[in-house]
Amino acid sequence: MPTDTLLRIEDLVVAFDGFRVLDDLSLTLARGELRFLIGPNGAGKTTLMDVISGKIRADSGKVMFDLSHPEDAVSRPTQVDIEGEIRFEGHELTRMREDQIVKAGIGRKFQTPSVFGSLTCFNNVEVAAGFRDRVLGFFLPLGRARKEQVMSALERVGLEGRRDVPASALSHGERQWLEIAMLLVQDPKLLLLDEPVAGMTTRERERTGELLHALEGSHSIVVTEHDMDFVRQFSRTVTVLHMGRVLAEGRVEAIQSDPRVQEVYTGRHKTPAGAPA
Amino acid sequence: MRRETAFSAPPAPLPAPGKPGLLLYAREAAPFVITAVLLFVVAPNILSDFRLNLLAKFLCYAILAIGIDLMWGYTGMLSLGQAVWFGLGGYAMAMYLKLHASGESIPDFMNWSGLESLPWFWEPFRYAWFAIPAAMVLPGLLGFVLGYLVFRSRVKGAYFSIVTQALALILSIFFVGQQQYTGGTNGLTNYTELFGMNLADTSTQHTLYYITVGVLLAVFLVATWITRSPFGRLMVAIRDDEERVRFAGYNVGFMKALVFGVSAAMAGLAGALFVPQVGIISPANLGIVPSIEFVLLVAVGGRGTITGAVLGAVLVSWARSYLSETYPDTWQYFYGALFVGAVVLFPAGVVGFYRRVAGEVTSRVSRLRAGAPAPVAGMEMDARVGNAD
Amino acid sequence: MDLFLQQLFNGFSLGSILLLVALGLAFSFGLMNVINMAHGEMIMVGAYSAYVAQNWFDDLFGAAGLGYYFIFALLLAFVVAGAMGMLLERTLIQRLYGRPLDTLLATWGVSLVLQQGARSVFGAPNVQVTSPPWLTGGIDVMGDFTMPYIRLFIIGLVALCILGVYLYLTRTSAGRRTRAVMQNREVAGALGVVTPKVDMFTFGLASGLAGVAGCALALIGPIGPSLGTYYIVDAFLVVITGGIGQIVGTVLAALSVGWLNAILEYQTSASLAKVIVFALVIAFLQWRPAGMVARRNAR
Repeated sequence: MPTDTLLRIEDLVVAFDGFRVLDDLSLTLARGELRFLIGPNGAGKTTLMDVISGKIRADSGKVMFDLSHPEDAVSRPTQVDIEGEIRFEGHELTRMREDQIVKAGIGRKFQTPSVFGSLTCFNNVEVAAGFRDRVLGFFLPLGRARKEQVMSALERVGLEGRRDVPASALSHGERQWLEIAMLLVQDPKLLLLDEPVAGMTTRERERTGELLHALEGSHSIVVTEHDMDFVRQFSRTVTVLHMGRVLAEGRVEAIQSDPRVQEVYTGRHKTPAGAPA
Repeated sequence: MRRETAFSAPPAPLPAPGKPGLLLYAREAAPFVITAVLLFVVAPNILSDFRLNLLAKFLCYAILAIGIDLMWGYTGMLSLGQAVWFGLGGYAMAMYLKLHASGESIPDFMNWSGLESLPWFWEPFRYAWFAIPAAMVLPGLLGFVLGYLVFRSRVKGAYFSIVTQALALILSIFFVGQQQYTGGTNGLTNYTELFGMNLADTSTQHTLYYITVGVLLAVFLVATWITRSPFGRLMVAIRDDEERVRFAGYNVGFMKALVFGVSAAMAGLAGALFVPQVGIISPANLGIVPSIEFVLLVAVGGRGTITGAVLGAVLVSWARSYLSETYPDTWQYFYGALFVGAVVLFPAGVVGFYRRVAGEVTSRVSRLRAGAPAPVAGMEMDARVGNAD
Repeated sequence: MDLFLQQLFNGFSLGSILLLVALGLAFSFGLMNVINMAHGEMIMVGAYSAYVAQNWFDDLFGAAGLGYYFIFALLLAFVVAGAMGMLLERTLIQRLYGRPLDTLLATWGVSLVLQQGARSVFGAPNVQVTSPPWLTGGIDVMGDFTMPYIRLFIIGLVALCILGVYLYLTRTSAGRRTRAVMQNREVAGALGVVTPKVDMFTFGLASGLAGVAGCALALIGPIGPSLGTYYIVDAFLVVITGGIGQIVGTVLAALSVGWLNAILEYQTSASLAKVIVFALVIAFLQWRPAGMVARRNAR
C-alpha cells in the first residue's frame, strides 16, 4: 500500500429501501491527487460524497486507512481494518458529526450551490473562516489577519470585486465560486466538489479548471462532473461509477474507449431507474 | 443530466455601502437615541401614573421581544414557549417578594395547602442576590440545555415550534397542579416591598419604570452588539441555510442552543421586571396563549430588526389593551385579524413596511433626478449587516 | 389491578380520540407542511354541532329524538367542520404554502376568531349534551373494571374512521391522487393532478375528522369555546413522535401517548404525568429523531 494514500474506502454499502445505491464500492485516493468521478445519474456519486462528509451513514463496508505521517506510523499500526467504518487520518468518519468531519479536514461543495443569500460575499467567506474559533471570539470584531485571509480566498476565485454584494445577487457561476472560496479559506486536506462547473459559462469553466490544477498537489480533490468536455480538458485520473460500483478507473482516453463505459453511457436501458443523482 | 443553463447576465453591481462615516453612525444610532429620549424624558411627563405603569409593562414585553427577534428574525427558530422563560424569571422574582412579604412565616398559600415548612428549593430565594440573578440564569440555562437536546436530534423549523409550545402547555399545567409549591392557579401575589421601597407607592413604581427603561436600552445595545458581531453573521447564516453551516464545520445545534439560551435569559429578565410592577404572576402568564402573543409582537414590528421588535411590542400591547378596554366583548375578533393581517399583508412588519415606502420614495426621487430605472426597493432585513468592519 | 385495567382502558379510549385529531394534523402538517392551529377549533365546531343537533332533534321530535340525534350529529360535525376547513384552505392557507411558521401564526388568529365566534353564538359558559340512552351503562368485566358503552362506541367510531381513511387513500382515485401529491407535488402536478383541488379536499377531510373527534368528545365532557386548545398540542406531539407523514407511526404514537398518560396519571398526578410524557417524548426524539416510523430516503 502506498504511503501517500489519504483515503481508502472498501466495500462500502448504502441502501435506501433495499435498493443499493452504493454496492460494495471501493476507492483509493492519494494525497494531493485530483480525481474525477463520473457516471450516469443514480450511479452513486453524490451518495459517496454524502457518506464521506457524514451526511448519510453507511450500512456496511470496510475502509482501510494508510497513515501518511512517518512519525505517526511508529505509534500506530500502518493499516487498520474496521468493519463499516471509514478512517481518515485516524478519524473514524462514520462515528463523527458533519462538523467534526469538516474540522478533520474535509470540505464539501454541494451540487446546488448553497451560500448564505442575505450575507455579503465577504461575510459568507468570513463565516466559513471562523469554523475553528472559540465561541467567545465570535463576539469580538474581526482581526486584520482574518480579513486578509478572507480577501485572499475571494481573490483566488476572482470575487474580490464583489465583496460587499449579497450572495443572493450573484450569478449561478459566481455562487459556485463563492462556495469554493468558502472551502478554500478553511484549507481542507480533501475537497469534495459536487458538479462545480454546472451553470458556468465556458470562460468560467476554464477558470475553475485552472483553479483545480492550481490546488492539486497541496490538496486532494474529488470532483463529480457530467460535462465530458470539462472532464477531458482538466482530468487526471477518472473513476467511472455505475450502479454503486466502480466500473472503470484510469486516464480519460482509456476510459472513453472502454467498451463497458460506452455500454453504460449509450445503452440507457441498463441504467437503474431508482435513486436520483 | 447535462446542465447547459444559460444563466442570466450578472446583475448590475449594487451601490457599495459607504464607509461608516459620521452621518451613517448618526443614522444608525437615531432609533436608539430617539427611544431613549422618548422613554426617559417625554413619557414620564405626559403620561398618568396608571398609563406609565402600563407602559412599563409593555417595555418588559419589549425586552422579551428582542430575545424572540434574535431567535426568530435572525436565526430562524420560532419558539412558541417564550412565556415559559418569562414566567420562570417572574416566579423567581415573585418568590423573593413573597418570602419578603411573609416575614418569618411561610407564604400564606402553603399554609392553606397544608405545608408546614418552606420547601428546600424556596430557601435560596430569600436572598435578592440569589433570586434576581436566578431570574436570568435559570431560564437561560434551562433554555440552553433543552435547546441543545432538541437541536441535537435535528428537531427544527415547525417541529421545534411545536415542541416549545408543548413545553409551555405542560409547564403551565404543572404549575397549576403543584399548588402547594407554586400557589396554583392564583399564582403568587400580595407583595409588600422591594429593597425597602413600598411597592404600592407611586414613587416606587416610577423608580421601577426608570429601571425598566434602563434595562431595555441595555438589552437593546447588547442585542445590537450580538447581531453586528461575527456571531450575528453566523446566526443569519444558520437562518439562511442551516445545513451549509453544519458542513462549514460548525456544531449548529450548540450555536442554536446558545441563541435560545440568551433569548430565554432576556425573557427571564423581562419577567423579573414585570412582577413587581404588575403585582402578580400566575400560570396564565406562562402558557401557550401569552407565548404566541409574544411572537405577534415581533411579527407586527418586523422580524430581523431590533427596533422592530421594540416598536411591535409597544404597539401591539397598546392595541391589545385599548381594544380589550373599548370592546370587551368582541376585541378578540380584531386581535385575531391582527394575526392574519400581520402575516398575510405585512410579512415584514411595521419596520419592513416603512422601509419599503421609504425605499420607494428615495428611489422615485433618484429616478427623477437621474432619469434611470431605480433599483429594487429594499424589503431586505436588517440582518444583512453590511461591512465586516 | 381493576383500577389499573380501568386506567389502561381509559387511556386507550383517550388515545383513540387523540388519534383522530392527530390523523387530520398528520395530513396538513406532515404532508402539506401547514401548521394549522385552527385544527383544534374544528374539534370545537364538531362538539357544538352535537349540541346543535341535539337541540334540533329535541325541538322536532321531543324526547324520542334523543335516541337518534347523535348519528345525525356525527354527519353534521363532519360536513360543517370539513366545509370550514376547505374555506380556510381556499381563503388563507393557500396563500401561505411554503411558509409553515407563518401558517402557524395566521391560523392562530383564525382560531381566536372562531373561539370568539363560539362565545358570541353559544355564550362563554360550557354546555353539555345528553348521551343517547343506548350508550348508557357498560360491560362489567371484572371487579371495578367496567367498559362504558360510550367509550367503546368512541373506540369503534375511531376504528371506522381510520378504516374509511385507509380505504379512501388506497381504493379511490381521489385518494390515490392525494397520495401522489403527498409523495411528490411537482411530479403529480406535471402528470395532470390538479394539486390545489387535492389540497383543498385533503384539508377538508382533515378538518372533518377533527369535527368527528369533537363530536365524540361531546359525549364524555363539557363543550366550551376553548375545547380544542386542550387537544391540539398533544395531537401535534403525537404527529412528531409518530414520524412525519407516517400514518402507522401516528397510530402507534397516539396510543402510546394515551396509555402513558393514563398509566402515569394513575401512578402520580395528572399534572406530573403531562410533564413526564413530554420529557419522554424529548428523550425519544434523542433516540429516534425522525419518529417511530421513519423511512430512509435518498436525500
